[in-house]
Amino acid sequence: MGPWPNDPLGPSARASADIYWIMFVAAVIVLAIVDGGLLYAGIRFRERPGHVARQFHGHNLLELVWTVVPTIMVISFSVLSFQKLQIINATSTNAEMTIDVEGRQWAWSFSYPKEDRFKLNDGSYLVTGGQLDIPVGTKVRIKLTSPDVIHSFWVPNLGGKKDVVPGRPTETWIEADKPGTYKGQCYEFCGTGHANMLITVVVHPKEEYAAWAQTAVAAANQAANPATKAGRETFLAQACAGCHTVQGTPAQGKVGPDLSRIASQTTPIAGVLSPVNEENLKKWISNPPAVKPGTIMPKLNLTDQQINDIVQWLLTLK
Amino acid sequence: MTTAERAFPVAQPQYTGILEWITTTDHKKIGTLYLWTTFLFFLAGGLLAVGMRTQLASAAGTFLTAEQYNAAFTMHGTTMVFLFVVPVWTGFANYVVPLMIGARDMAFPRLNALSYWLLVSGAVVLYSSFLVGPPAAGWTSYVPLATARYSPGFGVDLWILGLTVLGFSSIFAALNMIVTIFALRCPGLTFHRLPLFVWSVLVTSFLLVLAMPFLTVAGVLLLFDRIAGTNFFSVSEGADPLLWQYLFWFFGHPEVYIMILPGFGVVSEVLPVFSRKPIFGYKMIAYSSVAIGFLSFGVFMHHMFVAGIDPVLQVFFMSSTMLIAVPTGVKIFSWLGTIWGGSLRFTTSMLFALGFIVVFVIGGISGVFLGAVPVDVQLSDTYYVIAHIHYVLVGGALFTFFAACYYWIPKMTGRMLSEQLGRLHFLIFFVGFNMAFYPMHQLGLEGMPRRVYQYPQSPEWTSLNFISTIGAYILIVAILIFMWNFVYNVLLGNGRVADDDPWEGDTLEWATASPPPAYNFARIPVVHSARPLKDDLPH
Ligand code: HEC
Ligand SMILES: [Cu+2]
Repeated sequence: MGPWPNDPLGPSARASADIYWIMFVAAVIVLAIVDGGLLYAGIRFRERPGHVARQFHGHNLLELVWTVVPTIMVISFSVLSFQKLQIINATSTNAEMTIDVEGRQWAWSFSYPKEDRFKLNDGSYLVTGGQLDIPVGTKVRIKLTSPDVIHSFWVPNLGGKKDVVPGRPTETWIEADKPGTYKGQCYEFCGTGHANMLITVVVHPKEEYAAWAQTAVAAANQAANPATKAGRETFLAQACAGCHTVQGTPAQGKVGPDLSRIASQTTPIAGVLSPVNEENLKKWISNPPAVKPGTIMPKLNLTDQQINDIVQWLLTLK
Repeated sequence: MTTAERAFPVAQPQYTGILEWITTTDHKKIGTLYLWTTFLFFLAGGLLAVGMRTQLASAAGTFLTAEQYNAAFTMHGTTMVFLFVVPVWTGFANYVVPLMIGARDMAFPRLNALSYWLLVSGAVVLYSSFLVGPPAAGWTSYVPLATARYSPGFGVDLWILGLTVLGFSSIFAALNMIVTIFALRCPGLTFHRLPLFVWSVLVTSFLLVLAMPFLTVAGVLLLFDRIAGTNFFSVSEGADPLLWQYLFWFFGHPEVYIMILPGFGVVSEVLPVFSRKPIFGYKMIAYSSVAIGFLSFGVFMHHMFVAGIDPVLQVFFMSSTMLIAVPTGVKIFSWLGTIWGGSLRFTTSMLFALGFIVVFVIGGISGVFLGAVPVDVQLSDTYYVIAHIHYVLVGGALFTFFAACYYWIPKMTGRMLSEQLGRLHFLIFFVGFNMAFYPMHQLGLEGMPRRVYQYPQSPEWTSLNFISTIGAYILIVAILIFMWNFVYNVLLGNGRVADDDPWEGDTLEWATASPPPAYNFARIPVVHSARPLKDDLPH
């Protein structure tokens, strides 16, 4: 996938790219005139014996031309841009799907529409973190909110960057021409973790989207199992989520290993504690450095109850 | 050139040595202090940038931590804007404007000294933050990030206090400049004969006086929020976080022109002298500065195109932003007209002035791209913006700063800089600059965000970043050559002795000795044209 002007892969990015290339041609011409003029003048009018400077103070016609021509140019850019802007700003017209996006320090979460296909067993609806899955060729309205500072949502090849402003909901839209994985991230500086606020948009063929939704909901159901709900909530509320990823939850940390299938893991915990069972998980989580000196995972101040909850939940992640 | 007798207004200095420098109210000494101080901060800001470039040379650099990197770009931007570019022009203007208008000093010499010492105080306050934890919310300090909740500690407080003090410094200096230019022009020096550097300083000064208060007000409100618990920017109390951005950019955009208009003025002085002919379209250049000054207050929201502002505002500010390219274009073409048909002497000063045009045109053009909202939504907050501001500011302020140095240092010190070293400096600087900043356009198009300390997820950005870092190192070499040129030829006194008018310039600063004596002119000059040294000679 090339940069967006070469590879605009959605209507919004395409609207931008159209203007970009028109202006690009004009820019090349202007650059050629100015730099060509400089080069020519530099050679032709250099000081040398027998060459004298012509003394003149101006040239009315020329001055008129280089005031009027650029004015006409920028007015036409404005008019063209105005037309394309209508496309880019039309966030809700004909939108087939709406995703509520929350950007917060320093993660994204995507709430899917309140439709049956996204409904979980506990009556809530699918929420994912870091990764947004959408069907191809579908206009998706993106509603943006932030609980803390300003962030900015942008997936370059799909277009339509928009800031995520606390207390002031904003929106944009994306639509992808082709299935595939599109990279994006947070574009408004938001503090220490700004560089890690990544977005992945996975675009599925239309016919495969329903199947994806089903798997995602199943995974989320498993993660949200009421018997282990307390554990899940503790995990998400504690520092764990900042370092670990669990698919189907907002936990998208990248420091530690992915725990989405920890219960069916065959290798030892942290490479040292085998097998993966309740006892060993508890042992590890209650004091990792004691088990494996020098490990990055710190000892967190959790009660036995909290550790138990977390482990009961982790054991459901198969 | 005729002259007129006029009594000396002020007493001779009472002290000598260091005390003389501390108590001086002489515009030339104050100008010199300004230039030394600001150059020092240029080096500091540059060092921070080199740290950032070193960090970004690889995708997962570990030279700096995220916190250090964030502090580095915050202090880099703040330093370059408030402690180098803005005050360095105050320094040059301080030294040169009274000479150019045939005056013996500024209108308010003591206020002038106060401005300088406020600059030093503001700088001390700002840099003292390094002792307690520097600010790390960006030079724009957007709220809520810069509020106490998300930026605890004293960093942002000191940032605000420092900027407030610096704001007063600038405002006093600008008021002084305005009065000086209006009141102290020598007989015959009408506004249509005023050197274009003085014109641009005049417009700049008005912009400073009008724009600075907005930053000061925004800063003070934020400071209240941070230390007194008020809620000017508190979202939970219903405040609009965009309020800060409106206030900041209402100051911030004119600020851009505050930084580059004086550079335009330098170029308008240098080009005609080394082309051996008069400036092309004097009035158009002067008036376009005024036009830019006015328009600069009407474009500020182009910094907020993706912030969720009303579409009507998007369209209005898109048009006004594009329109400002017109007076800028007029200047560029007028400069081309100035060298056209001339007899060009490629002195170092001339090379920097011509290099400025090459670089600045690219910055101007990328500015038009950013002004078009549909393109801006794809470029804002990416490295394209970083490329743009550096082409505009390094072009408009640093190339022109060097042009001004090579042009006026002989006048200020009585020694010529080496032209050989100067040309080498130019060459290396030009190459290093383009290597450091041109690749950023492409990085921006590829979606690299500004203000990220790492990019492990996109290793494909590494090679361009690496080239950029090498470019930054090359820039260090160029700066070192410049410093050596100055030390060897001026400080150590090895340079040729400069006569009164080494470049055959024709404005009044060349009518007095190099360096100029105290009070500049024993007899006040009387002028009859815009090129007094040339046209007035037969009189
Ligand atoms: C500072 C980051 C960090 C935090 C916070 C953190 N972990 Fe870890 N975790 C790690 C790292 C790194 C490893 C890998 C340890 C190693 O191999 O040395 C790890 C390993 C693990 C493992 C073993 C995974 C495997 O595949 O072997 C489990 C289970 C685990 N963490 C659970 C938790 C839980 C539960 C919490 C919250 C109470 C938590 N972690 C908090 C960083 C963290
Ligand atoms: Cu963010």
